[in-house]
Amino acid sequence: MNNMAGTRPAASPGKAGVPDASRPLDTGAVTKRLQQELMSLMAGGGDGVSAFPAGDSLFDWVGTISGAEGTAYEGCTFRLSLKFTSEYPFKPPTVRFETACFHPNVDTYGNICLDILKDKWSAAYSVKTILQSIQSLLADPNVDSPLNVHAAKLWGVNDAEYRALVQKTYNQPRAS
Amino acid sequence: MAAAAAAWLSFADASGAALAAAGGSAATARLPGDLAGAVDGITAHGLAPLVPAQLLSAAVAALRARVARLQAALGPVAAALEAAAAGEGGEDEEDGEQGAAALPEELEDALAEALREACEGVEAATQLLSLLCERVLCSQPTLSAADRAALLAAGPRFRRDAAAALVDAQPGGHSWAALLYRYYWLKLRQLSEAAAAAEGEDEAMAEDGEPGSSSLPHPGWGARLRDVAAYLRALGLEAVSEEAFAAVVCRHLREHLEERTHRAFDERILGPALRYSASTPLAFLRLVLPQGTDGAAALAAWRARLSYYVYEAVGGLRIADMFDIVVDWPDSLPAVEDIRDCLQNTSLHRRFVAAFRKSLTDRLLRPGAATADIIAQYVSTIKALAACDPSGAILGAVSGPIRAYLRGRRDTIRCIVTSLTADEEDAAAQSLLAELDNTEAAAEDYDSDFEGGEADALALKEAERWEPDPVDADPSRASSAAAAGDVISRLVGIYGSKELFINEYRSMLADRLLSKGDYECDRELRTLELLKVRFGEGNLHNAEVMLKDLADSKRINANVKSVPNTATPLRRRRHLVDINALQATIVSHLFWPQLPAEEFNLPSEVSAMLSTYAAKYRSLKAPRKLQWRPWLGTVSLDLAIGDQMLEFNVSPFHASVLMHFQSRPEWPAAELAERMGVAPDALRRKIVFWINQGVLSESRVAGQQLVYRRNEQLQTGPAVAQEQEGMELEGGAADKHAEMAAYEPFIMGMLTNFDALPLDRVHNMLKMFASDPPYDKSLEQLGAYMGRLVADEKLSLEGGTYRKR
Repeated sequence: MNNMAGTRPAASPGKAGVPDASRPLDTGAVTKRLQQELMSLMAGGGDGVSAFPAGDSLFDWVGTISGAEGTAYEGCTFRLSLKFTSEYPFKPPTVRFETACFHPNVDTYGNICLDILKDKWSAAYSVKTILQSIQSLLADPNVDSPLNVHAAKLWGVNDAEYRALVQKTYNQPRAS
Repeated sequence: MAAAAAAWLSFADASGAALAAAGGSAATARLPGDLAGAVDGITAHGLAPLVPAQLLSAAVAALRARVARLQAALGPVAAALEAAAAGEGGEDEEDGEQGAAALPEELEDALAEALREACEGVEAATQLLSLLCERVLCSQPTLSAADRAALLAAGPRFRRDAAAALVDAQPGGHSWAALLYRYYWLKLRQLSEAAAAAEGEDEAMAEDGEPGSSSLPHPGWGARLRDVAAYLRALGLEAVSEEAFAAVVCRHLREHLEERTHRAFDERILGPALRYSASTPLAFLRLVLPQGTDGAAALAAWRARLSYYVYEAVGGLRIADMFDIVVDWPDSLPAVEDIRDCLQNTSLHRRFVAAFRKSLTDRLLRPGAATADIIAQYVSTIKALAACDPSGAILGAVSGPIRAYLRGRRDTIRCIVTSLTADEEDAAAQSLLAELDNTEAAAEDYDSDFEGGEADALALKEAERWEPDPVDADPSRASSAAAAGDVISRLVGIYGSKELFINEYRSMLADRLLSKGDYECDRELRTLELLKVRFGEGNLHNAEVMLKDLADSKRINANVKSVPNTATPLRRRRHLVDINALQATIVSHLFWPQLPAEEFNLPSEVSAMLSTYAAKYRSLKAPRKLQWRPWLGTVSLDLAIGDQMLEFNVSPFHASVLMHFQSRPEWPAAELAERMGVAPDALRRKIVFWINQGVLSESRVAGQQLVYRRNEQLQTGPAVAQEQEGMELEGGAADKHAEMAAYEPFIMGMLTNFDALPLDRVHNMLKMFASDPPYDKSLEQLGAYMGRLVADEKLSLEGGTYRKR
């Protein structure tokens, strides 16, 4: 949708890993890569983000982000779904909020507007960096291209109401 | 009509008198004149069809009188035999060697005479009957076919009736069977005693197996027996007689064997028993069986029967003792060979398996039996059964319960590995080590990289050795697999995989190597080489590195000590202390099993030595550094207490505790524990060692805390129980949890992303996604570990699902 330089992870990779379209699919390699990411995620520990394969397949993950301290999202724990394709890591996974989240760049269906999940994707990103990016997006939204206009308008203007709406949305059961 | 009646009456009288008298004198070849006339008289009146019935009833009446006479004559004989049997039965218990109660010769003669008389009587009556009937037939040729047949059959029919009447007779109030049994038993005992006496004089006779007439008790002895047997046959009592002497011979053999076995397993009893069965009992049978070709055939049949009986009896005796035979292995090899031959010649397999299994379960597989003993017995069983049943089918059937039981014991692997790696003094271990050396069978199992031709040759060799399974082998078990294994692979196979075995070997090896004061590990190297042949080099790579570490340590140790202080970094030089008392074992920790962790503070003198050593090592081997594991290893202490010098080899912890008492004679427990950096109760567990040695003492003054005090004189006080066992168990559990701890991030990660999960789901997800280290734990192990996490308040358990706290 738009550039969101502020939400990039610290170690921004180059474009070396852009996919070659003619490359044959190799789910074995994808599985191996996802397995490794799981290992490093488990070994590396939290920092407020976590993820684990949802069920029988390594291509379907559940992620968890806790709201950073000092933000309106403090104390909230957001559940996300990550769906990988066999072209991963050359194509980004589809990431959605499963917990309702009141945020300028998240719509009511949980879709996220984040550049690194779209055109700024790089094969060097990982599950962990994705989740960390989303975590920092919570603290630092891009109000210039909102999916949730109401949130974008309140952001930085009426902090109290923004916080109240974040909590209200967080606590309401998800509609769909 | 009156004439006919008169003729009939005169015939009846004459024939009845003749039949009653028959046998008294010599049998006649032709009819007396008066009888012939009487016969002619009745035939003239057409009374011939009535003759057979009349004659038979007259003959049976005469026979009855004769049987009564026989019974009366045998009365004293039966009484004497009964008395002999009773006397023998009473005394046999106390004194088996006493001579058989003798049957007086005149009584035996009376028996023979009575039998002979009865025999002749029956014979003569039969003959007379036949002559009469013949005469009737001759004088009246116009009889109907049925009447002729009845007349012809009268003789044989009488013989049958006579036999039946005799069998029913009860000589002297006893059945024939009892009488003859006792008679034969007496005779056989006399014979065997005579044979034993003769054997004493002439050893060579027993070798022949054919005792000559010289071994008979006295001349005429055999003749009487033979006569009695022959008369019995003639009287139609053959079946009763045979039954009696068969029973006698079998009993005799059985008693003979029982007398000889006496649970001695170091010599064979089968051969002598077979020889014996071919001597005395056969000589006896030769007398009681008919002579001539019939007799020879019967004797041959009896010879086979006797040897089968011996096989079965010896087999039965040995089988009953199989457990003890295995205990005595290899001294009991002769007994095992007996069993082998018995099994080959009989079908005792099933009984053998059942009996041996039962004795194993009853006597061996009990909680009270030490695992090492069970393993030793299992090894002996394997070897003994290999000797007595090369097909391995019995072993397969018998070893099942042992293996299942050993699988249930926690220390099985440890015991096996210990006996493989134990010191040379241990004889049992030696035998296992020798098995390890016996690599003939092993190579086939694990090193399958033969060239094609070689493999073919091997298969051919294998095929030549093939033998069909015994019919009662369990078909569900592959016999080739059972036969292929030798002792070691069977032991290793208890657990179905060699990985467990190798891991246990590694940790045992680690223990041994770390507790070594010197760096000598020739013996371990030897064991390792043998194990490599068996399990393949790759599997034992780690162990090899471990041994190499030891060798390297020796060299490095010497090098480090020769590094001058000036060569080490300057800023540390003033801390440098003498390190000659220190010997380090430098391990490549990746290749060693996980070493137990046990943190405590070393005394400053020792840590100074360690850091000096480390500094010199660093100057020598930079960029490598040493990471000390001070709780491993041993300390050799020379302790002076009062005027006594004591030497100890103790753990570093024990030595460190004692060092603190160098500076102060007494320490409050809490303070010492703090100084050592351990919990007070952990300290006490260790310090008990010194208290038991009389080096330290503990005292608790009322209201004050526990104080440990240095003894100035060695004290021998009441021993305080050391909680070694408990410590080890605790350590084992801690190890397990340490292994499980690798999966804790996964468990936490799962529960972070899923609100609540049941145990089996966690188990399955770990199986699916945990790859380094691969998840290989059981649901129970996971449950135990999750329980611990719950106890540690990291998780909560509600309604069967786990949650993160």
